[in-house]
Amino acid sequence: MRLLLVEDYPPLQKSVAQGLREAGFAVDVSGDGQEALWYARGNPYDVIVLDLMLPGLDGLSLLRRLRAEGRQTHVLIITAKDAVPDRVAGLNAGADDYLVKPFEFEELLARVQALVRRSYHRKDPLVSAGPLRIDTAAQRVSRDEEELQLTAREYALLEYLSLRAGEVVTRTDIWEHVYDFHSEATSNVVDVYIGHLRRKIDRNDEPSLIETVRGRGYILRKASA
Amino acid sequence: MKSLRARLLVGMIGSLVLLLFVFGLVIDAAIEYMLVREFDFYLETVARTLAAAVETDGTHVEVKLVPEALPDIQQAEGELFSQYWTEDGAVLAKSANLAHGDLPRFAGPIGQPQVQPLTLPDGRRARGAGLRFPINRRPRAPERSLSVPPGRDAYLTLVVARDTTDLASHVRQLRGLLLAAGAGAMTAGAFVSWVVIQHSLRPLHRLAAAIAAIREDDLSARLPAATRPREIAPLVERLNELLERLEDAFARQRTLTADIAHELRTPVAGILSTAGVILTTDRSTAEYREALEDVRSIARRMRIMTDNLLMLARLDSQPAPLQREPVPIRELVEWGWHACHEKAMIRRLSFQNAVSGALVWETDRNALAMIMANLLDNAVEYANESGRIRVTANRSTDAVAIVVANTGCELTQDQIARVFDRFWRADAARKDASLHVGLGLALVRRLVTSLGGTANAAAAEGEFSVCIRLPSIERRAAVD
Repeated sequence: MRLLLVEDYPPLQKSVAQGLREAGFAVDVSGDGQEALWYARGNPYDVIVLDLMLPGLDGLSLLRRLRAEGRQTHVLIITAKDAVPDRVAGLNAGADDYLVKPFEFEELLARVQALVRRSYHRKDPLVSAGPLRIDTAAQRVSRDEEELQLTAREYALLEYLSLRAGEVVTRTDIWEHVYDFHSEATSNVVDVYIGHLRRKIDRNDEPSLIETVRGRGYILRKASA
Repeated sequence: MKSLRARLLVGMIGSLVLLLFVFGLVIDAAIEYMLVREFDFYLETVARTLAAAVETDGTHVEVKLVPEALPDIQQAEGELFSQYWTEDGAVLAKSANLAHGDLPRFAGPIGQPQVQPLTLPDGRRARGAGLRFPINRRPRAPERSLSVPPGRDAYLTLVVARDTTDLASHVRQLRGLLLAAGAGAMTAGAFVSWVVIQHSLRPLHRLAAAIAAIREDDLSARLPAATRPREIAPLVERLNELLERLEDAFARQRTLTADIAHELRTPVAGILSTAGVILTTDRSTAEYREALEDVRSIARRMRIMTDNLLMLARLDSQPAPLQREPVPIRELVEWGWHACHEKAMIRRLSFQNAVSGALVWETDRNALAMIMANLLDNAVEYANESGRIRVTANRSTDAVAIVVANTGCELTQDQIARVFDRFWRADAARKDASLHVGLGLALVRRLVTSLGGTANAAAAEGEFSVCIRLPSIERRAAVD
């Protein structure tokens, strides 16, 4: 899942970005309102984590502009302002959630994950696709009760496919949602990772769980064929 | 006496008592005087009447005695006594009720009755009229017996006395009546006073209730002024002014506390997040080290902030005792620059210390050092990349002016006016990790004020400058 983290206080920006990346998110980072607006307009982020006090353009104005342009990206506001009017103003500007600083990173992560689930119209953090069971909260994957060891990138890829299980997912979708702005990756890398992932989740004697739809992309089967 | 009500009540009742007492005394005296005068007038009349009735035919003197002579008035009030003396002091006659004694003999000028108090033979108090008068001659009657030598005017002395028991009891009765009336008036007066005082003090009670209803967490309430008596109105006005000042002070305090909490939240969030992320999994020593370094640098900035806050609070509550010593300004500027030159190097700022090495000013070294450190830190913070910072100093006879200027100012005049406010920053958002919370210049102004000087900010052609003026000790003493 791809996130935009807009936070101008470097220690917080650094640690939150690191934590989110380690949790399997592709994270773009900005410390300036104008720059963040440019990022948000150009990329299909799953969630934007937004600080309110920003140089360039303040968080609420940024949020209002995005909503005015019709962007549906889920936005989580993180701010030191905790008064009820501030929270109300934040939510009324179009935010989906509001977290007051200082916060525990675990809580931020859980809220971000919840917003991701909502992006894909899901409530249950447990996602099933055929024999695969993916716990998006604990970031664990198992096949037939047997836990699979995936790298962060592989997990991110599988999670994205599973959230859209049953749909055809294009390489561009994958590239945009699983890799951050500074990744060297091109969409060819997607094929490589699909290959890695298949080796880990497939059984030799069965057809691949991830089907290639020629010319369009990939599809993760919802139920066993 | 602490109670206003008691004081008023005592005052009013006291004056009422005094008034009634004096008035009572006057009335009592007047009534007694009138009664005695009437009494005396009666005695005189009786004396004259009796005297007029004394006749002589030359040999006998015919006298009339009370009460026989005046039976009609005798019974009215008080028993009458009478006694006649001849010129040689012999008792000529006396009334029957004087059987066992005599009245004292006295008289005024001839024909003029003289009244004086006396004691009857039986010990009763009485008043008597003494009259010396010539005996009327009865020309037609032959002279029969002559006790009084004929041929020349014969005089008799007559004393008519009257028992004053009734008079005294009348006076007592009247006095009792007066006392009763006085006591009644007193009671009524006291009651009326109490009611009036109670009524007059009611606005004070209402005011007290209104004041009691004001809660310290909501000072926006004001006391109603319109319905108050004129005397209380100024009090209400002053109280309302006090409330307004308190509300302002409380609001400032609340804002300051909120600002502090808010400003502390961000670094705390940084620490929590850094530690939280690093603890999610086992990591290499290098990663732990880096995280700890990050936490330490955050904590260091927090320390600067709390130090500044503490210094501000201390200066507010009790001005630090100032030391006086000659301070070389240039050296102090160098020292202040040393603390932030590293940051200045990163931002590629140039620095010029244009203060003369000969300039020495008598002031508090620590305070001035803190001022310079904060001014330079602020300049380094807000100068444009590759900008210039310049410190100059000018000395006049009674003051020294030190100016710290930096390039890259984008502040408006309104913003310039606010740079000394606590927690004020031109950009509501932070520029970088420095956590510059807008306390530096507030502290500068506070310190300069405690040194008796002034601090002013100005901006011209993109250059922001803060000028601090410190008066000489002599000058300060003169102002103080």
